[in-house]
Amino acid sequence: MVEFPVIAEITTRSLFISGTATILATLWSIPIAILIAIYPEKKISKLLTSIFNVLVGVPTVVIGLFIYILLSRSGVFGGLGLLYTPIAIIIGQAVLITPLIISIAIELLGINMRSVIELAKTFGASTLETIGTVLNEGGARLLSASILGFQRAIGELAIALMVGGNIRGFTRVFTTAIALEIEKGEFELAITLAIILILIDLVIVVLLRLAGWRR
Amino acid sequence: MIKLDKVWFKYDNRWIFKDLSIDIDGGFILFRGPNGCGKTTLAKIISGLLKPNKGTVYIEDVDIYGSEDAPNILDKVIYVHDKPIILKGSVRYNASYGIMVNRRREGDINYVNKLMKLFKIEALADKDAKKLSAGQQQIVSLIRALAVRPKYLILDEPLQYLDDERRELVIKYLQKIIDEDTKVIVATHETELLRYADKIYVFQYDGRIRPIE
Repeated sequence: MVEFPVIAEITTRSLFISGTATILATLWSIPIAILIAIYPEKKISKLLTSIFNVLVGVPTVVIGLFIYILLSRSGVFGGLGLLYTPIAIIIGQAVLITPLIISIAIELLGINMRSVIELAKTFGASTLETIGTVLNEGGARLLSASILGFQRAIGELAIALMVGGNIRGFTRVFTTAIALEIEKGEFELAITLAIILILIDLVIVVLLRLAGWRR
Repeated sequence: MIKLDKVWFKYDNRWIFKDLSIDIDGGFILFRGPNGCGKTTLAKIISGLLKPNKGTVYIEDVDIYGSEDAPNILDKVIYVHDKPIILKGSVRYNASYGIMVNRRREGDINYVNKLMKLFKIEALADKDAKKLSAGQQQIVSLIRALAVRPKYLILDEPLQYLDDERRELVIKYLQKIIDEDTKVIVATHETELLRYADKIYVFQYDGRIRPIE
C-alpha cells in the first residue's frame, strides 16, 4: 500500500533540492547570458556561447561522475563532507542546468531583447543599467529558461543517485525512489511518484505559457 | 565628420559592405536606397551598435570601436530605431530614460517636459507608454533621443507612423537643431525629406554608396 507520508516527504525533498539548484543556477546563469547578449561581438562571448551549447548535451552521468570526484573523500572538496547529502545533489543539478539556462536565455535575449539592449547602449547605459533594463523588460520571459532548467533538474536520475546515494529519509528524490521501487518490483509507489512527476511537468508547461514562451 | 575606412561587414554569410571607405558629412544627411541594401546596418555601425568585421569607423577622428575615447564620442551619438522601442512604464519614464542612465551626461527633465509639450503629448505623460498608438510611441522615442541633446542624431524611418501635423513638427524641429549644429542622419524611403537634405547617400545592392550633393 502506498504510504502518503513517504510520498509527501519525497515530493517535498525533490522540490526543495531541484528548486534550490534552479535558483542558484539562475543567479549566475541569467547575468552571464545577458552579458553575452550585451557584448556578442567579443571573442569571449562567442567562445562561451559555443562551450555552453556543447555542455547542454553532456550526459548527466558524466556530470555526476565529475561532481563525485570533486566531493569524494580524496577529492578537492572531500574535506567538506558533502558527498551523499542533499547539498551534493543541489550542486550537481545546478551545474547540470547552468548551460541549459544560459543557452536558452541567450536565444530568448536574441529574439526579444536585441532592440532593448541597443537602446540601452545608444544612451550610454552602464553594464549594470543595461542588465537592469533587460530584466525589467524581459525578466518574465527569461524565467522560461529557469523553468526549463528546473524541469531538467527534477527529472534527472544519475546525479541524484551518484552523489546523493538515494538514502532513505535524507537524499531520496523522485527519480531515485522510482528506480529503487522498480528494482524491488513494487510498482505502486513508483507509478504514484511518476504521476506526480508528470503533474509537475504539466504545471511547468502552464508556467511556460504564462511566461509567454514555449519550447 | 564621420569617416569609414575599409569597412567590411557581413550578416551570416552575406557581405553587406566590402572594403567600404566613405566620408559622411553635412547637416541633414539622408541614406536612401532599396530594402536590404544596408541603410540600417550602416546607421547602426556609425552609432557604435554594430562592430564591423574589418575596418575602422571614425567620428571626429576617434576610432569608435578601438579608441579609449570612444565612450565620450559615442555619448554624442544617438540612434533611434525604425520601430519605436518602448519600455515598461509611463511616457515620462520612457522620454527621460536617456537622461537617467548615463552618469556622464547632465540630465535636464525640464527639457523633456518642454519637448513633450512641443510635440503635444504632455497630457499623456503619466500614461502607460506601451498603450499609446504607434505614432505616439514614435514621438516618445524621438523625444527620448532629443532630450540628451545629441551632436549626431541618427534616425531610422522617423516619420513612418506619424500623421501630417506631427511630421511637420518633427521636420521643423530637426531643422532647428541642425541650425544649432546637430548633425541629423536619416535612413528613409520617404521622398518628403529629400528637399531638406544637404547630402544624400544612395545605397546600392552591391554594397557601394554614391554621395549626391
